[in-house]
Amino acid sequence: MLAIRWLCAAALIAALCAALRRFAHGSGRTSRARVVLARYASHPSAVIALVALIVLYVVSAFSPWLATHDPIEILAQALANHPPSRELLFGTDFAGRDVFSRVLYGTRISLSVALLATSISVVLGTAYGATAGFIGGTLDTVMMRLVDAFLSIPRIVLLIAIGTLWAPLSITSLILILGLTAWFGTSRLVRAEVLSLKEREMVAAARALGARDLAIVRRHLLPNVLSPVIVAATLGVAGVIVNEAALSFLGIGIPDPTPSLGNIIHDGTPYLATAWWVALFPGIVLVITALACNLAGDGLRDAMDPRQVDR
Amino acid sequence: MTPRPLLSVEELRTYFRTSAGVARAVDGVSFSIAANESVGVVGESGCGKSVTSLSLLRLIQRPGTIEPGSKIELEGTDLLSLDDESMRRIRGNRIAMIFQEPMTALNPVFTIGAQLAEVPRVHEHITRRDAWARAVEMLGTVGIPDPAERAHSYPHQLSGGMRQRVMIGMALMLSPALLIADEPTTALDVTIQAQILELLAELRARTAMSVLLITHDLGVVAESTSRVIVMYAGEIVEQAGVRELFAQPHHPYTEGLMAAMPRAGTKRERLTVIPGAVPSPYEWPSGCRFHERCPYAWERCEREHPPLYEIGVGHVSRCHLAVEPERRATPHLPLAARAGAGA
Amino acid sequence: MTLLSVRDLTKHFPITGGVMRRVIGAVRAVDGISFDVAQGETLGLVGESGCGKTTAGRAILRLIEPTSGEIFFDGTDVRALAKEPLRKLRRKMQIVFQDPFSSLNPRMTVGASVREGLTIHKLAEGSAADARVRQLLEEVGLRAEHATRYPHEFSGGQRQRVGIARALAVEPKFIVCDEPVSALDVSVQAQVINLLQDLQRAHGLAYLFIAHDLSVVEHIADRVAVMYLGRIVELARADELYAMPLMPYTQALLSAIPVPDPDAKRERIVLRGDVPSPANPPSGCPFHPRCQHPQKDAACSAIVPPLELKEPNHWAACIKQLPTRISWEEQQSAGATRPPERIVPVRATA
Repeated sequence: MLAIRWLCAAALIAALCAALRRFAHGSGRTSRARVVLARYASHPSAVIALVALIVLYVVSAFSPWLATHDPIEILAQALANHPPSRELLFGTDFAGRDVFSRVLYGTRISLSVALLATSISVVLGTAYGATAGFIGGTLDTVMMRLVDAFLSIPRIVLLIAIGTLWAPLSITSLILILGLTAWFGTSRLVRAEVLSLKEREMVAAARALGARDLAIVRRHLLPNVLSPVIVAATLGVAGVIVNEAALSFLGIGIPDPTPSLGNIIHDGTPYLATAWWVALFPGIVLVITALACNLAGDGLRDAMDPRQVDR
Repeated sequence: MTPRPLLSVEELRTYFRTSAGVARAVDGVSFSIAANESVGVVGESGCGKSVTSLSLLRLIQRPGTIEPGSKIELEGTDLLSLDDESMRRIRGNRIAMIFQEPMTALNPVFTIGAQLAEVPRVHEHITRRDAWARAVEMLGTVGIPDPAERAHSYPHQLSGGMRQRVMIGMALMLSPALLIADEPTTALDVTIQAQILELLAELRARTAMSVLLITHDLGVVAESTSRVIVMYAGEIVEQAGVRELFAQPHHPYTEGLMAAMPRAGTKRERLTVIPGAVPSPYEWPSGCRFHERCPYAWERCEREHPPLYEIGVGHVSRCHLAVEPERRATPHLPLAARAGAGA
Repeated sequence: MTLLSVRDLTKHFPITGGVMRRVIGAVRAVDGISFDVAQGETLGLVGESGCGKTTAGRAILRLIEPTSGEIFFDGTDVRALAKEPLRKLRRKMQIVFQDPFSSLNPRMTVGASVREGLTIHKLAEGSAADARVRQLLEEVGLRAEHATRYPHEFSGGQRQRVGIARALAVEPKFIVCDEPVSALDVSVQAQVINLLQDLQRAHGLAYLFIAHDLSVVEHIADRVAVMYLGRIVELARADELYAMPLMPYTQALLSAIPVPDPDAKRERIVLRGDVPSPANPPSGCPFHPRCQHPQKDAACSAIVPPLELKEPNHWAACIKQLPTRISWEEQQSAGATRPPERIVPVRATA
C-alpha cells in the first residue's frame, strides 16, 4: 500500500519535471518566462537543484501519506536508538520514535516556516527599499542608516535574544521572528535597483505622460525589481532553513515533540557516538535543501540577467 | 609581380554556435591591406564588421569560432596556425587595436603612465625607468599636453578625447604594422572626432603603419581612408577606391546608405530609405542577402547568391546588376517595404 | 503663432562636498537661455555633450525643475503650475528619448506602453483604447498585432517608433525630440526622420529637436540654436546658419562634420583642447580659450557676450562681430587691443 503511494509521488515528480521541460523547450512565440527557463536549463547544477527541490516539496507535502509511522508516537521503549533496518529505514531516536517519519514531517515544517518567513521578509524589504529609493533625500538616508544598524548585529545573536525573551515560541511567532529579521538585505537590494531604475528614461517618459507617483512605482519600478528579488528570496529560503534549524537545535525554535530538521538533529547529538543515524539523516536533508536553494538561486540569477536575455 | 600585402584575409568565416542555432556573423570575407594603407570598413550594426576585426586578432570568445578553411596572413605568417603564446606576441607588437569606448579598455586603478609603460615591459626586457620614459614620450606623440605631468593621471581624470588619445598611444607603444580602429570616434563629439582623425592621419604619415578603420559613418570613411570595404550581412558587398566608391557606388546597398544620409540640399524632403532591417545572422536570406530590401531585385536575386563581380579597376560588387545593368533603369518597391512593417 | 516661449531659463545643479554635504558650487548646466517655438515649427538645438541641451529639453517640460526663468506654453505659465494642473498640461507637451532601450518598460507589452497615456488622461477605455492603440501603431509604421509583443522582440528603430506612438497617443502639440535618431543606424535613422516629418505635417506638431548631429538638424529644422556651455551662442534660420555661421564656435563645429565626399575641398578648423567643465566655466565668453577668431583679445575673457542681432533674423554671441552693443570704448577698458569687425564668412558647400 505504502509502496504504491511512493510510486504515485514519484510519478507526480516526473510529471512536474516533464511539464517544465516541455515548457522550456516548447515552440511558438517566446515569452520572457520561457526564455528564462530555457536559459536556466542550460546550467546542469541548477537543474539538479531544481529537481531536488521538487522532490523535497512533493515528498514533504504528502508526508502524512508517505510516512511509515506516526512521527510523534513512541513505538516502544525497547525500540529506543534502534539502528536503521528494513522496517525502520532511518532507525529510531532516544525516545523510540521513527526517524524516517520524523524527517519527512520535519522537512515539511522547516520548508513551510522558511517559505512563510521569506514571504514576510520579501514583502517588507521590497516595500521599505522601494519607499527609501523612490522618495530619496533625507528619508532615504535615515531609513538606510537604520538598516545598516540592524545589519551590524549578527542575525543569529538577534534571533537568540528575541527567542529567549519570547520563549516558549509558537510556530507562528517563530515565523514572524524569522521573517522580521530577514528583510534588511532585500531592502538594500530593492533600494539600489529602484535608484537606478528611477533614472531610466522609461520613468521620465511616464512622468511626461502625466503618470502619478504611485502609478510609476507600481507599473514601472516594482515589476522591474522582481527578478533580483525572486533570486534573493530563493537564496533567503536557504538562510531561513538553516537559521530555523539552528534555533531549534538550541532548543528555542519549534517546540518538542513537533519535528523539524533542527530539533531532530538536536535530539540526536547527545547520542552521536552510539546512534549516529538520528542526527545524520536530517543533517543530510538539511544540507541538500540549503544547497539546492542556493544553486537554484544562482541559476535563476544567471537566467534572469536581462543583459543575457535581451540578446 | 605585385608586392606581398601586409595583411591578407581569405574566406574568413566566424560562426557562433548557440542554442538558438548557428550565427554566421562573418561569412566568407576576403581582403588585403598594403603597407601604410588606410582601409575603411563600413556597414550597419550586425553586418559583421566588428567580428571581422576581432577575428584578425583571434579575440573571438566562445561560442564563436573561426571556421576551418579561413586564412589570415600577416607579413607572411599564418595567424590561424600560431599557438596562443606566439599569437599573444603578435597582438600589440604587429597588430594593435583601439575601441569605441576607451573608458572600458583602460584600467581605472592604474595611472595612464603605468598602463603605457607596462606594454613594452610585457613584450621585451626593459627597465622600469626606460619604460616610463617611453610612455611619457608616447603621450606627447599622441598630443597629450604636459605628458610628464599627465602620465600620473588616472583614466577618470581625463576627457573622452584624451582617453582615446591614451588608447591610441597604448596601441602604438610597440610600433605595430597594423592598427585596427573599431569605431574610434563614435563616442566622441564632432570637434573632438576631427582631432582624433587628424591624429591618426598624422601618425600614419609618420610611421608607415597601416590603418583598418571600422565605422558606420560614411563621412569619416570619405575623409580618412583610401580604399573602402562595404559589408552587409556578414559579407563584403562592395569594395573600391574611396573616390570611385563615392562617385559611382555600384551595389544598391551602398547606394542606399549614401542616399539615406541627410545632407545639405535635402532640406525637409523625404529622405530615401532602405526599408526593413538588417536580417538575422541565424538565417541570412537566400540568394542575394539584400534582395528583400533592394529596389532592383528580380527573380534571379532570390535564387542565386551573387559572386563579387569585377566592375572596374580594384572595384568589386556583389550584385547581379553587374551582368544585367539595364535592370537599374526600372526600380520598384522592395519586398520589405511591401510587407508594411518599418524597422 | 508662438506656441512655446522660454526666457532666461537656468538650471544649476548644486555640487555638494564634505561630510556635511554643504553646497560648494554649482554646475551651470543651462545658464540663461531664451527662445520661441512657433506652432508647427521645428527648432533644432545642437551642441556637444555637456553643453546642456538635454537638460534644457527636460527643464522645459519640468521633468527637471528649472532654477529660474520663464516658460510659457500656449499662454500658460508652466513654472507657476501646481502638480495637478501640470499633470494635465503634460498631455500637450511630450518627449521622445534617445535610447529606445531604456525608455520602454521591458515588462510591459508595447501596446500597454502606448496605452498608458490614454488611461492616464482618460482619453479612451476598453475596446476603444485597443482600437486607438492599433491605429497609433499603424500610424508610426508598425503592425497592429505588434501590440501584444514585448520591447525585447523589436529592433532599435522599431522601439523608437513605439516611443513616438506613446508620445503621440495623448495628442500633443509640442514634442521634445531628445536625440531621437542618434542611437540608430543610418538607414533606420532616415526612416525615423521621415516618420517625424510626416507626423509633423499630419498633426501640425512643433518640435524641439535636440541633436549633436548637425547634418540631421540641418535636414529637419526650420531654425537652429547652437549651445555651448549652457548658453545659446547662435540662433538663426537653418539655411542661413549653415551657409553663414557668425559665431567662431559654430564655424568650427560645422567645419568638423565629416563630409561623405572624398573630393570636397574645404578648410577645417580643428579646435584645440576640450570643452571646459560647466562646473568651472571660463570667464567672459565661454568659448574664448578655444576660439580661433582673428580679433580675439583680452576683452573676450572679461566680457560675457550677449546674444544679439548681427544680421536680419540671425543672432549670435560674439563681441568681435559687428554690430555689437558692447562699444569699442567698453572693450578697450576691458583690455581689448583688436577692434570688432563685420566678418561675413561664406561656407563653401560641397
